[in-house]
Amino acid sequence: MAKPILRIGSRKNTRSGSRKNVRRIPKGVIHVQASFNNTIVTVTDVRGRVISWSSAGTCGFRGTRRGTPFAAQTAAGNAIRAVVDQGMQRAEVRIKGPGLGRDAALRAIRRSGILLSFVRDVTPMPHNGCRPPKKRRV
Amino acid sequence: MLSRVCPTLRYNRIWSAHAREMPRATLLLLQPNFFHSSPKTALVNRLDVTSSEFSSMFRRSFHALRSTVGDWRKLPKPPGQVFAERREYRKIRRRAPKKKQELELSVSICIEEQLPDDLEIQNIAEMLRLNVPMAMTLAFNGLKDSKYKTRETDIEDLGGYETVELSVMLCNDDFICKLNKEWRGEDHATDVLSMSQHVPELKLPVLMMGDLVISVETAARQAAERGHTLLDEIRILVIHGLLHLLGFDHEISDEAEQEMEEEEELLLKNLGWKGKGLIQSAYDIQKTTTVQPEKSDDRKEGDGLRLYKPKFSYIFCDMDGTLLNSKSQISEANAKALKEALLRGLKVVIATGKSRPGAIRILKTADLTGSDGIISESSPGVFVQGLLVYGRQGKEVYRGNLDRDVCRETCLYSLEHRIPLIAFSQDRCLTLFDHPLVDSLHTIYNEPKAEIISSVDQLIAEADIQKVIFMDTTEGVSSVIRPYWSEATGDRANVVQAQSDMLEIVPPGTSKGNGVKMLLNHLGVSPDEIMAIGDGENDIEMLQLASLGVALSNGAEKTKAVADVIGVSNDQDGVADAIYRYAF
Repeated sequence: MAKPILRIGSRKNTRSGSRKNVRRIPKGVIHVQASFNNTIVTVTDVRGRVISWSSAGTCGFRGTRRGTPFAAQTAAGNAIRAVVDQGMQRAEVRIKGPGLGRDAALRAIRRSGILLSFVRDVTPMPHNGCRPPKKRRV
Repeated sequence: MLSRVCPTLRYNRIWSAHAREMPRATLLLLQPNFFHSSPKTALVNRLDVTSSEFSSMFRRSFHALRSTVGDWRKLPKPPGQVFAERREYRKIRRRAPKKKQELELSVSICIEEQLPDDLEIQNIAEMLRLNVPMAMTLAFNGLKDSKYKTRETDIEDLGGYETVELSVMLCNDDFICKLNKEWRGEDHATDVLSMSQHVPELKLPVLMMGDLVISVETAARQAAERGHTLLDEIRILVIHGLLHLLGFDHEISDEAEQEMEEEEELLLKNLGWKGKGLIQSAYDIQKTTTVQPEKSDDRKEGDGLRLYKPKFSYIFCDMDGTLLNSKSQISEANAKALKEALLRGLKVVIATGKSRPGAIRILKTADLTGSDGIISESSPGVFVQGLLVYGRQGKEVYRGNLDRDVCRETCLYSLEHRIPLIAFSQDRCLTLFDHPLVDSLHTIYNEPKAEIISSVDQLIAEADIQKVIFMDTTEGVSSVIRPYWSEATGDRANVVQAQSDMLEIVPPGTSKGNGVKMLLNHLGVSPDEIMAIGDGENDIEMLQLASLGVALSNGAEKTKAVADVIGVSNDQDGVADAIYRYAF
């Protein structure tokens, strides 16, 4: 699978404008963390500050229903709706994890109307146990 | 001193040329609050000693401070403010620190849906609901020391989180093999997979650690070879996988391996759990001379079988040349496989050319009869090439009789030419005179002992006859009897040769496949739910009908051509191999 993207350089700290009442954020990053039991969808601005987030748990799903594609779709819809109202028009999507919710969340994001500049799978290679390599028999 | 600051603030509110200086001064005033764990409390306290107009100014400045938290250290301190700063600091220190909120550990333990309901696995899942949060708490406490050099420090300070989420899934080898192939490119089962979902740059109240996937099947094998219980082994795998999610990786260097092993042993010891860490176990295995035999095929048997649900509800099984070996016996391995299948909810139905008593006699020798066995007087089955079909509780579903005129002619032929004839009549075998070949049907093929009827008329009148068999030498059957009766029966009967030294005369349209169809109709079962195993040409329709048809390698070429898969021969326990390989 694709290797995780390493962050280069540190964020520049700049003073945010406090004069305006409503912040307009045209571009952002959508993170989808999909485990087998839960899906978390987070929207940040390009500098990495969290604007909106939702998870299957916070949407009211409990127990095994948290891992379902429907729960992921609901979580994605809730997270996206908040930022669409703030004027977000385009985003990069980063998906991490093998859960059933990854495709459903992506479908919900596509249907939101946000233009997706990238869809990137940043799931790292899983680790397994510690079986020694089998000895070669001559 | 406070009065000196107050006029400055009041003066700056009118947006004079010194407006830039105002937030700086305010920042300095609020600076001591930053060291306190509960700035809100301090702010509330301050409000009591200031006017309402003043407090409004302070509140706004507080928010400004928080938004530019990274900058506050760089601002120079005007010397005039030193006294005020010290005074505020002294005030704050008198207040007792607020108690820190406890971190919530949200651990989901789930059992993959392909795993059947098993009491031991459910008990283990309940134990893990208690054990995994304990292990996490202990592991998190260990992070504060940060003495390990090789650990990836994405997960460092948990103070900023309210909840930590971890997902643990118990599954079988098939499921973890699929994950291993898809995400790591390795096409084999493994014991544990740690799949991280943590995104370090996100500032969320939830820390999503990821998934631990554990194969109970592999864990059971490893537990057996290491001499501890399945729960002990799964706990070891949980510790190993958890350390991976926290950034340990034993594969990047020797030092990393040593550090991870050290932490594994530490956690297991502090939790009081049994067994060595996984890295230590692997090291010990390498030292010993014994080599572990690896599963070279996809057969599932032994204790691992209880971790799979059957793929079918029925197995239809032929007998001669399939379940029976070349000595007409059921091997021990085949008997064991059939018992395993029954134990796990599969139903096995015999579909044979034999009579029901004949089949029962053979299966009795392998202890497969009775109400909880494969066959009895009250179980379904297809017999005499589909001419006798028994359904639920052994009730007769179908009986196909041979034409009476054909019966009469074959009996007269038998008497005239002194060729032995056996008439199959439900559970009885009838003949006209004694003969060694007739006895061999009983002694070798286990059919009921033939009753000698004194006359043709009496034999025909006494019972319905489903089929008749001529027995002679192979040469006699092929050169004399078969050509004659292929012609003589016309369209009233069919001539079938199941064995080289026997010729069978059966009603037209006789088919084991038809018998199976009628039985499925009676049972209300769809062909999609059945698997069939056979070898002869008479099994072709049955194998085509079934969702999965298995032809053994010793079978007829036509049969192998239509089968879904070709299994090993009847002398190599072909039925057992087919069950272990395809039924689960």
